[in-house]
Amino acid sequence: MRIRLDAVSPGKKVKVIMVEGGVRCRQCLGEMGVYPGETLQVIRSAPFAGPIMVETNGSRFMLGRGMAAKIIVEEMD
Amino acid sequence: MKVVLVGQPNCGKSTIFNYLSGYKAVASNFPGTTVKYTKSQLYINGYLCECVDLPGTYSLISSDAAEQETRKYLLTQPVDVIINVLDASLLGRSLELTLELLGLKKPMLIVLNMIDEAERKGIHIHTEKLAEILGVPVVKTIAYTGQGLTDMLHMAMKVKGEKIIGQPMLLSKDVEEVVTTVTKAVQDVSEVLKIPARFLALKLLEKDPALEAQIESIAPSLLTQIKEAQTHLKEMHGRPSDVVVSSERHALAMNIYEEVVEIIRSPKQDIRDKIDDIAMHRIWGYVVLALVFYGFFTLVFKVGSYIETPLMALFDQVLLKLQYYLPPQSLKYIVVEGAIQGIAGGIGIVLPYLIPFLMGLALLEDSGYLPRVAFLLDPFMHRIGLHGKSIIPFLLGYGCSVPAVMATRILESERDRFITAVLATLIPCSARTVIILGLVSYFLGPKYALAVYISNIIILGVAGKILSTLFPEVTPGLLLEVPTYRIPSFKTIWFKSWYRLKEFIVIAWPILIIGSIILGILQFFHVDNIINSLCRPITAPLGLPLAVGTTLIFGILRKELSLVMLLQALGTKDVLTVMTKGQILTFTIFVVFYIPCMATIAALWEEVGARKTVFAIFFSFAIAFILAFLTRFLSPLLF
Ligand SMILES: Nc1nc2c(ncn2[C@@H]2O[C@H](COP(=O)(O)OP(=O)(O)O)[C@@H](O)[C@H]2O)c(=O)[nH]1
Repeated sequence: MRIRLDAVSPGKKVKVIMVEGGVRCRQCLGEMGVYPGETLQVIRSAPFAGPIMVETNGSRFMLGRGMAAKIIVEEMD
Repeated sequence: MKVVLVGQPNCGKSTIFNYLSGYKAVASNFPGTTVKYTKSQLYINGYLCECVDLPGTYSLISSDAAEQETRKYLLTQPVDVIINVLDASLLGRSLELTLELLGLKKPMLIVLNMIDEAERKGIHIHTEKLAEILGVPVVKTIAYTGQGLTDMLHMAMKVKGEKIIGQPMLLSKDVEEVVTTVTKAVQDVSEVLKIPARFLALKLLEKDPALEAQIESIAPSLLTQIKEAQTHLKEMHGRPSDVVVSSERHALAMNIYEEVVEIIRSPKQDIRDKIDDIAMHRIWGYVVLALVFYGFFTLVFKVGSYIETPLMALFDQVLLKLQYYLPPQSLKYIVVEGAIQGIAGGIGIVLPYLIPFLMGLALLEDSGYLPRVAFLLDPFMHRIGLHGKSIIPFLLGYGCSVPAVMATRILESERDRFITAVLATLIPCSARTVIILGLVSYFLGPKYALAVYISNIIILGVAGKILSTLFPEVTPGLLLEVPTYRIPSFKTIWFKSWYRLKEFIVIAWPILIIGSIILGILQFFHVDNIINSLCRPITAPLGLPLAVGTTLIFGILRKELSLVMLLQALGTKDVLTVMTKGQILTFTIFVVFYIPCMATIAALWEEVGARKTVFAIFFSFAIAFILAFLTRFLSPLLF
């Protein structure tokens, strides 16, 4: 099932399907390792609709909800 | 010979640079520390070398201002050797930048730093294999112990001597065909721009805005051709051309990673991974945050006041003694008194607070805690139209406004940079901390000092809200790497504090002493009265003694001057005898917010331009005046 990354609950692993948004946004996310086909794990989320923390290939980064909503992912089991 | 260090943020570049140059740059454990490049000269085997530390960058596509700096440098400056520093524990991702750098066709050397971290994770890297694939030498280092760095320098000499430029990596066949076509098309332009043709072609397919604009201005028809190639790639792969190229590079990097890395064991359990369960927890995270900052400021205050009191008493005695030797009403006495007061202001008031403050700040920066603060406070920053990354310039602002204004370069949008820079100048820097502690805390009690800080934060929120309403635009949102915690080495903490302290000692302190003497002379000839009456439109509505006018003018030079000068202008150390508690509070509030100091104005000028700097000056002055005016009339309720 395809959902947006901001809807993924902490602990879940997901596979990136595609990244929406402009070139800049795609590039910045690419720099963090978000590419179609990569696996992401949501580690935790901040309260008050704050950012989420994601791990991929051994590195961790945080991203705001707005940006997370641009990443379409598929849940893995 | 010119050697440049290039690497992704937090790969340990500054640490390497510091090691080489004898600790002159500032290393930190958060992305984007080196926001401007630092240069240093050193001798390798008797050759004079210029070594340049460029801002950390994830890729050579320009996204934020700090990254653009690196790219611009690499594309326009003559460089003899590129030393590409990689975080060995994040090899896969780091290789993406390496692949881009290879495209520049310059002599290059790969440095696998943080080998200790990689080993902790159970990763073994076959360097020979990596060197063979990339065609450039690879050296392993541990920057903070200096291990491998001599090797690195020798290898750099060799790379330069033999002009080892490595081999560019080929993408998959159908993409490569498009790349080759575009490379041919841009051949002529690339010679004009002095950028390798293939590199230019790849960047254009990646829709690099800066290069597209350049092409448009020199060869508009070429741009149409490039746009066609972009569309062609998109139709072939069902994805935008920039994604096609960057995904290919990503896949290449991952393949190389697979080839050269051997996982020898599962990673050692590390308590550092557990720390975040508390430090970034939705409730405990904020408790920790409050405790950290409460602890920080109490420590600074305790240490500071412990030293200040006896020191000031000592200087008072010196001044009393002086009267035996020089007639108190002579010009000579005034000059000597001014000098002593300037020296005393430095030793007695500024240093006791500045040293623990700077060391504490360095500790916070190097531990890697700051990005966690950005995570916790991001939602609140959104309320004022910014996002979590702005918190880093803000926190630096408590140290000094100049690096804070410069650190706004880590922000992506120009509007965010401007708002953050203006707000950062409103934050009490260490000089203003000295005023708050030395005046409010000392005479009114620590609780009032804390209140000043808290109200400063509230005002910051309101000012932020006003600015983001004036400049409406959606902030791009937070995206920030979370670095691993590191135990800061005493050496870096010490050198970093020393680096910042030196700035006070060699620049501010002499100004303080000279300013103090000048004020003495002005008073002697009663010139200060003229300045004071000129400042009357400010001091009178705020209900402040006329004599503080001069100190406000001096305060624009250096904020510390306000306090020391105040004591001198009033002619006593016991301020309470000449000013009421309400006046002390009003004065402090005004000084905290009004006009940034000269150095900050210069930094603002450079970062946001003249017009916005003038705006910032008026904006801060208006805030200061309104708040101080309110304080004047509300303070009788407090005391
Ligand atoms: N474990 C380990 N830590 C390192 C090494 N080199 C640097 N560090 C630490 O990594 C952090 C980031 O280093 P810094 O030089 O500021 O990175 P920069 O952002 O690339 O300039 C600092 O806290 C350093 O003390 C290393 O080889 N091993």
